[in-house]
Amino acid sequence: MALLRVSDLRLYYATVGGVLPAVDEVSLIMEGGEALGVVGESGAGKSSLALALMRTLPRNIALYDGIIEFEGVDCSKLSDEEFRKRIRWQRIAMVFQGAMDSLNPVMRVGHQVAEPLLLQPGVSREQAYAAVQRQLELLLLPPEVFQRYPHELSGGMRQRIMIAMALILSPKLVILDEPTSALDVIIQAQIMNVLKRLKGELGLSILFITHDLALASDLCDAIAVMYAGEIIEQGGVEEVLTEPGHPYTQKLLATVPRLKSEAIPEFIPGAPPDMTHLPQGCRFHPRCPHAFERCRRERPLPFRPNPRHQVRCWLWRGRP
Amino acid sequence: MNHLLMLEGVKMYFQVRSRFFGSLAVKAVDGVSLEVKRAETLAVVGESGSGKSTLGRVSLRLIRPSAGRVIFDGEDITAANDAELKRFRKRAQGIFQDPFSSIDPFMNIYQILEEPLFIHGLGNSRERRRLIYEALEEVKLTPPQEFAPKYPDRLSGGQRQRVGIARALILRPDYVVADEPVSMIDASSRAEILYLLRELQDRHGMSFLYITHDIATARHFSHRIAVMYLGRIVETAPTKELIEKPRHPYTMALIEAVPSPDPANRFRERRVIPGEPASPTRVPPGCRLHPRCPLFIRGKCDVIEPPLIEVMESHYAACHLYC
Repeated sequence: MALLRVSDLRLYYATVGGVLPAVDEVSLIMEGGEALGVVGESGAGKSSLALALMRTLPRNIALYDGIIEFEGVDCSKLSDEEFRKRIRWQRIAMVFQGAMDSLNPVMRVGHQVAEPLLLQPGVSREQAYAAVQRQLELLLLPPEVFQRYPHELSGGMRQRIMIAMALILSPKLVILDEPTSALDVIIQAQIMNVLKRLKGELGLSILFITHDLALASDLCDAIAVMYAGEIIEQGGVEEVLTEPGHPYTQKLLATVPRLKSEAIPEFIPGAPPDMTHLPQGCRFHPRCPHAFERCRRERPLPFRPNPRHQVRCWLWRGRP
Repeated sequence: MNHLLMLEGVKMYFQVRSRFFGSLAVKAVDGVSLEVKRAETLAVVGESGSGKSTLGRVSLRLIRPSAGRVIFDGEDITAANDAELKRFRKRAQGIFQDPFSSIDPFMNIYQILEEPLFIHGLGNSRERRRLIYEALEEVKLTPPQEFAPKYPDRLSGGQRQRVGIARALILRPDYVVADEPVSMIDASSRAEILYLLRELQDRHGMSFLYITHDIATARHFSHRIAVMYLGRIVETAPTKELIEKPRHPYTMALIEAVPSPDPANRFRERRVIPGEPASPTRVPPGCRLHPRCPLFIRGKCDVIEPPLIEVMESHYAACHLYC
């Protein structure tokens, strides 16, 4: 049984400019213990996908439907209250982008990490604090960090605190939204090492949101590439990185500057579409070097080059 | 003369108030000497707090260094007066990180580009129009007639950064500091901006000081790299040499930390140095890296600050392993 099965998830916002399909017909499957990288540029819908999974939605929702099945439970059948009690934070936790700057500045960080546990019935303060100490150790933080205030900690340490807080209720899945994008590259590598260890030791499943395809490969077993609200390609990291099937993925991969190769980084001409005025047909076609008539007319359907790989592109089956 | 800009023993200390001690010195730049050659791109690579942006601002004489000298085209401008600085600024310009805050939202593109021409009293209105349209064409905001009347909020991040570039280059400067010019641009458009800068350099022969935290883009868009750590240059060499044969443990750590897209990555941990940089108010004695360095020599690295010495031709490193 898959841990998470998402089918035709749609999350549309009502904006002044019109309806904005931030997440559009997204389907994905995650197995337990797996890390899935959701990769895309800003505005592609990565964070909205996370919000949709967590059901922490803003007010201006025009449409929110689809099926989210988690550990065999169809979440769409749960009321908001049931979802809050059974799933959110208990089974699915999240570290929001930039959240490390939102720690309470006047509360010791250890207590902040303990808070979700203290709200559980029948958990004593001692038990909660002991659990926090175990979390700190797991994240390779020295025990005295417990007594520190946020301003006394570096960015890398605060981000680890956020991860500790997300993990304190022992969720099965944790969503990390750009957890390292504000950090320096060496600190980023340290955090990635910690995440690798957590994944191995706790069997934790991770949904890792990033704009950096290279960084995703540091942790993820599978990758989903988002563009303009859709997942345009997904598959095992081997498939997506070594045989990318969608022209966007191919191009995105070529934009990564390589340190140890002469291959010069490329760029994708043009810009992502205006999300309230999406082009007809494939959303990438105005920037696609291979676009043909059908791409301009019809939205591509998903195609599977092999069972572990799915691409939304007409090149795979629609060429005239 | 081959050098356009030289920094000699530059120090930049900022005073900050502290709760108990009255005032503390932040040693943002602490003894840096470097030169930028004509038509060269020198990348200054470092993490946040390394002093790289402060170094760039000193080299533009936007701030006056606490010690050391800034020499531009043979002229010492460390203590230049306003008139001298204005002449210098016509030849030295900056491109900044944030394309949203570094251009005025209440001016249209035409006004933004006209301002430097006004300040330096260049041309009549017809000539200015010609220069502005030329500048827009050079940064590929075409047709210029269409872009000139627009306000910045109509433009994407990449387009705004082009406006910033056009504004910096409209005076045909000889020296340009580009401080993280692409770090806020989407990955798919970064290389486009960097190619544009390179193309403009090929055409006009200006020198760039490319300040970045990203050693991977520096590898593709600079001739030489200087690596900074806590206010000092720890290693400098021609780009290819530095990437392929790094000598300083910090440079090695930076290189090791850069991910490349490889499905095998997830099966191995990165060899990464522990800890985080010290605060520039409490610089460690001896080598500044020693508390984090895997190759630390007790009694030496924690006592004596290593000088920058030539380890190979044009390749300098400040590390006791090579002294």
